[in-house]
Amino acid sequence: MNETLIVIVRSLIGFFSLFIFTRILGKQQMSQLTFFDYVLGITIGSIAATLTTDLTSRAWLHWMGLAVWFSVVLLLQLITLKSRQLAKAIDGEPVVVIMNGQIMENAMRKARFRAADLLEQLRRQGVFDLSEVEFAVLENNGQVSVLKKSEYQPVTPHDLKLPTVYKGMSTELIFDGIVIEQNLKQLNLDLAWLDEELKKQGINHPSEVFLALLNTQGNLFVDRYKDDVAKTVDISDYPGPN
Amino acid sequence: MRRFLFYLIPGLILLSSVVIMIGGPYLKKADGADDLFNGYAEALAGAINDDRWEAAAAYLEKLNTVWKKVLPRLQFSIDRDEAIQIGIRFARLKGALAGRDPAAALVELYELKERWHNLTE
Repeated sequence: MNETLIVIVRSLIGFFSLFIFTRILGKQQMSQLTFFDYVLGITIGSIAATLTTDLTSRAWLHWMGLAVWFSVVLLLQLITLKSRQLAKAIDGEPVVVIMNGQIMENAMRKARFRAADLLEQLRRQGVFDLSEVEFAVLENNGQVSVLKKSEYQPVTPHDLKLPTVYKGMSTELIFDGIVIEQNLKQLNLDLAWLDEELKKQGINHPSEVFLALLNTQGNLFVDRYKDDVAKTVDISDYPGPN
Repeated sequence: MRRFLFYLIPGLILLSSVVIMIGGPYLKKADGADDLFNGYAEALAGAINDDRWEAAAAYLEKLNTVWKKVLPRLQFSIDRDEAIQIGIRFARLKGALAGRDPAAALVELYELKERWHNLTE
């Protein structure tokens, strides 16, 4: 019995199973996870770890455990998509903790959310003075969303009635020295156009470029491999490798 | 085609993982190993009952050969402790045969057979 080989095979099974399962579960970010999601993640990860290294029991039993936990999470996800009522029961609801500038003590007590937690979350949002807050909502993931009073909100072009131009997403045209022809085609552009634009910036070949992005105003941002920096800033506090 | 591969490759990975993990019962029977093991175990029991100790030792050796041949292909679908226990049964059975103790030999042999039977259940 080759235990090293068994651990290698079990590790590969655990790794790819976990990878595939989490891909199926979707693109929820860590910051969006509720406390329950967080616990679920730890449990599933723990089962995968046991599957890999606990040779005293069959891999299949751990894998089945993993598959069942994954299936239940997937089922709950589907239920919360279909039924708003059940979604509320499963995920909970956001709680208003500051309303019209007043702290809602009862709501905070029900959510077991302390004043210190509220102040900390507000500081993270850049609010150091409670009197600036009109509304604060404790979201399901434990984060607080803040709406400042109108007099404390930043001025926008809309407030000043200034005209603005449309600003959409930039498109990658070169990544790591390689032209992304699919994106060029989507924008009805071609390699000749790209070469010409690069030459305007003194670049002879796309391989000299680390990243090139075209914004919706038609401006091409180019970052070359060769950086024109006389002296780089070292932010390290101690000598040696960073 | 790409979309098809996008689903096919993960599907094949999961399927092959499952086959590796639950393939034990089929791998135990492959090459007639299960039949051979049971056949040699029966022959060994007969030899012990008839006090044919040299023959019993030879059957035990054949039984051990089958086990050593099967173990590498079963190792991914069984638990390590069970494999170790079977190895210990072989050692104890060998001792019982060397001491020409039919009662101890039969106890060890029947436990070995039971463990073999339950190995992939």
